[in-house]
This record gives sequence, structure tokens and C-alpha cells, in this order.
Amino acid sequence: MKTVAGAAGGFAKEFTCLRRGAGFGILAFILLVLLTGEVAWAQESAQSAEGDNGCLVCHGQEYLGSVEVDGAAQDLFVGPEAYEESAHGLLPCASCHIGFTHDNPHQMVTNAEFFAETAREACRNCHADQFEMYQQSYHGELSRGGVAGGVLAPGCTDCHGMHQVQRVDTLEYRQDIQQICGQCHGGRTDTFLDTYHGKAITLGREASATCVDCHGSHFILPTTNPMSTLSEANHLDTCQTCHPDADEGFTSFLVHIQPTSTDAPLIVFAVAIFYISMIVVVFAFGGIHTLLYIYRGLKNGLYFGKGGHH
Amino acid sequence: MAEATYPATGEERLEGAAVAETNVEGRDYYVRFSPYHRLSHFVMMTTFIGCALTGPPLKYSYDFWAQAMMGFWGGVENAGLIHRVMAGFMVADFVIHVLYLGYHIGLKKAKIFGPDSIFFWKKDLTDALGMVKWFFDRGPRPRFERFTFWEKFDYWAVFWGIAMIGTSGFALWFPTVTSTLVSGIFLNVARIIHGDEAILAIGWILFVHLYNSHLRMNVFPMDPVIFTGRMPVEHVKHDKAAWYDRLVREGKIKPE
Repeated sequence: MKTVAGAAGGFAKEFTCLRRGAGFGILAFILLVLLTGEVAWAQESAQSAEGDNGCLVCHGQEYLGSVEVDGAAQDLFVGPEAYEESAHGLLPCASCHIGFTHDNPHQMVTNAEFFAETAREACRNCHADQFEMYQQSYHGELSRGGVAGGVLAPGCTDCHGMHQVQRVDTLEYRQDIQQICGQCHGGRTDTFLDTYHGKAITLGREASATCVDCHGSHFILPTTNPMSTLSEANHLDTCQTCHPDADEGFTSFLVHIQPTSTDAPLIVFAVAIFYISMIVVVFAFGGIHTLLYIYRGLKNGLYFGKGGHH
Repeated sequence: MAEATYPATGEERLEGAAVAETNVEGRDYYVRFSPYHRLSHFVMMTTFIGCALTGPPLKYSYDFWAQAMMGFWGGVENAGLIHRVMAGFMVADFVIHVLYLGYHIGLKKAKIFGPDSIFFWKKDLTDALGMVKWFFDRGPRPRFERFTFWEKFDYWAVFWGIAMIGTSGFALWFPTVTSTLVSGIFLNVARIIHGDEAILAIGWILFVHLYNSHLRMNVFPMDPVIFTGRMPVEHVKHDKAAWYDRLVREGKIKPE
């Protein structure tokens, strides 16, 4: 025991020395890597998205958490990779975060109204046309408190996202848009996803229509508004974008209906109920006949080799 | 070898009387389905499977399996193409069958109601009641004629099914034609018919038709008659006693 312990002690001492040496070596290596890494990263940063201010040095850290801005939590973390892959990946932070100051906390995030206003100004700086159309749309009217107090009015970033903004012609975005609209118009998304267009876009058929193909996007208006893409005057033109042969009757196709609801047109409701009833009755009779046949067969032992007839 | 065709006519019966049975492996067989019947069923079966594998992934687009299945077909457009090609052959099969019915009923004056007919008649009701009694051992198994009531039901389910699913399918395939001919709201109607009829058809085939034709006692685990056309005479006697008696009476098969 003793010798073993002694030998072990000697080894432990030697090992401690060795370990200490190695430890310094590793520490030095890590420092070196960090230092060079930092320098290389800083150099890279200087050329890319986050620009010369290096915002992502802090805001690229997931542990940064969030701050409270006028009662709502504002996430401080910006995923560097997701940002670089976004449509704005090459823009410096301050191109959208206008009025940015080096104070801590940055003045702009301490006030929600200022924050929202800057966000709009930021989008407008490059996308003036879209912004102008938005301003004239129902959503824009809502945002100014014109229709329903402006509380839930969607702004640019509610539909487009912020740091992960995508090109709107990608399949991913065209698939996402249903869920984005659904955040406020949930029932409409459900009925849409139950149509051919909804199913096909879900399954990746790029050519399929989405919410915005019929309703419009920035200049979206209620269908009761004569300027709407789906107003009585414009409905057919909108359908003809993809279905050039369509005539007036085509517009009587209803996207947002629940066939088994009494709100649905009578013929749709009647056919839906007829089919549900038929499915129940047919399977009840077929199923009972089959089950009874199995019962009789089992009773006669005909499935398990006892053989014989009837 | 005589081919028992539907509906058998006087001439055919006489022809058939001479060589009404075929001997395979020491068993007497009766040719129940003509080559046309077998081909027609084969086309129906394969095109049905083709449609049933390409349609439901669209209907259940929100399910993970649907997305995997669409991936297998190479996307919605490929699956749609396969679905339409299959549907085209199925409808062609159906149209040829309607012509076949027209030929036999219209030109050859085949009887619409009778023992050789696929149309329902009074005996089907008594047979069905008899089956229920037999299931509970309260009576003998009905003495079936050429087509049992469940076989007739299978046939008419397909007949109705193709008419409905085919019409609604074309309506959805050519939406602007539909809206010009009738109205856009019929696209809503067609979608309900197409999807629900598919549930009926696939459910019926899986849980009723396959059971009735293959898993039923005495034929379990498979009855190849729809592919070979041939049915053991012994089987005819036990399964369709009234038909057997008639075939013996008509001199079409040798009594067992």
C-alpha cells in the first residue's frame, strides 16, 4: 500500500510540474488565439456588416439578455450569422439605427416611440416608395391611430423582420408570409391554407399564390375599398395575373370559407355535410359487415388452419 | 376455355357449354373474368394506387409525412403530373367500360336485372339479411348468384366514385373552364367532392374491398381470381351456390 502510495505521490509531484508547465503553455496558446482571433475578427468586422463601430462585439453575445423599453422587453442580442445572411447583411448597423450614440444605455432604445419612429425613418431612407404606399394603406392608417387607435398596427418590421430581413421573392418568405399575416388574421390563414394555393405553397410550389399576391402588400386595403386589389372592380384583374383566361364567374370562388360552417354558401355547406354523412354511413355499413365477417371467420376457426367451409 | 363475360348472352352460353372448364393442377376451374375484365380491373387498380399516392400529400400538406412524400415525388408539380396522367388512364378505363355497358345493354339486349347482372335486384336485400343471420349462426349462408351484394357494392362504389372524383378533378384541373361553364363557387364544391370522395375511396379499398376480396374466410390470404380470371369450381360451389347450380344446369361446368 505504502509503496504504491509513495510511487503515486512521486508521480503526482512530477505530474503537477508537468501539468503546470502545460497549463501555462495552453493558457498562452489560448491568449494568443484570442488575441489574433480578436484582431482578425475586428479586421473582418471593419469590412463587413457591423461596420467600423463593431456593434456586434457586444450585441453578438447571446448572454447580453434584454432591457426594458417602456415596459416591453427589448432583446439586445443580434445573431451575427443570421444578420450576415439577411438581405441587409452588408449594411452597417448605423444605417438603420440612425441617431445612434455611444452613451450607455444608448439613448435610442430607452424610448419606444423614438425607437419605432427611427425604425420607420430607417426603412424609408432606402425604400421610400414602399413606405409611401404603406402610409396610404389600411395598416398605415392604423399605425397613425386613424382607424382603431393604432395599437396593433403592423409596421415595416412586423412583416419583414428586423435583423433577419429576407428578400420577399424567396420561397421561404413566401411560405412564412401566411404565418406573419396570421399573427393578426389567424382565421384567414387557416382557411387559406385549406385551399389549393395554401397547400401548394406549404409544399414548396413557388408559383402558388400567397396572401399578398391577392391582397397586395404595402398598399393593402380592405376589400370594401374601391382601390383594393380585391374590390369588385379589381378582383378579376388580380385573378388574371395568374389565370389569364379567367372571366367574371371566376371571382365567385371563395378562399376564406369553412365549408362545414353555416356561413358558407348553401351549396358548399350542403355538399360538405352530404359527404360527411355519406362517409359515416358508408364506413359504418362496410365496417360492420367486415367486422361481422371476421367474427364469423374466427368463430369457425377458418383463419387458423382448422379448415373447412362455411 | 370459355370466357364468362358480362352479361352472358344466349349465344355465349351455347358456346361455353362445350368447353366450360379448364383444368389446372388437377382442379377444375371456371373462367369467371374475361381478359377485358382483368385488364380493366388492372388499369383501375394501378391508376388508383398512382392517384392515391400522389393526391393525399397535397390534401394533408400540413403533415410531416405529406412533405416527405412530396419530396419523394420531387415536388407538387411532379406529383400533380403523375396524378393527372394516372387520372387520364383511369377515366379512359371508365369511359371504355361505359361503352362496354352500352354495347351489351343497348346492342346485345342484355337484361339489366337478372342473375348475371351487376345491377342490384331484390335478391341482394334478402341475401344481405341472410348474411346477418349467418354471421350470428341463425341461418344458412345465402346461396349467392354470380355477384354477391358486396361485390356489386364495390362495383357501384367505383362507378359513382369515378364519376364524382373524375368530374371534380377535371373541374379543379381547368379552373377557368369551370368558372366559365358554371361558376367559381363550383371550385369550392369540386374541392370538397374531390377530397372527400378520395377519403371514401381509399378507406373503402383499404378496409372493405381488400378484406372482402382477399382476407375473407375461405379465400384468405388472397384470391387471385381478378388477375387470373379463374375460380376453382369447388370454390364456386361453396361461395356462390345459386350460380353454381345454374352453371351446372346450363351445362357450363361439370358437377363436383
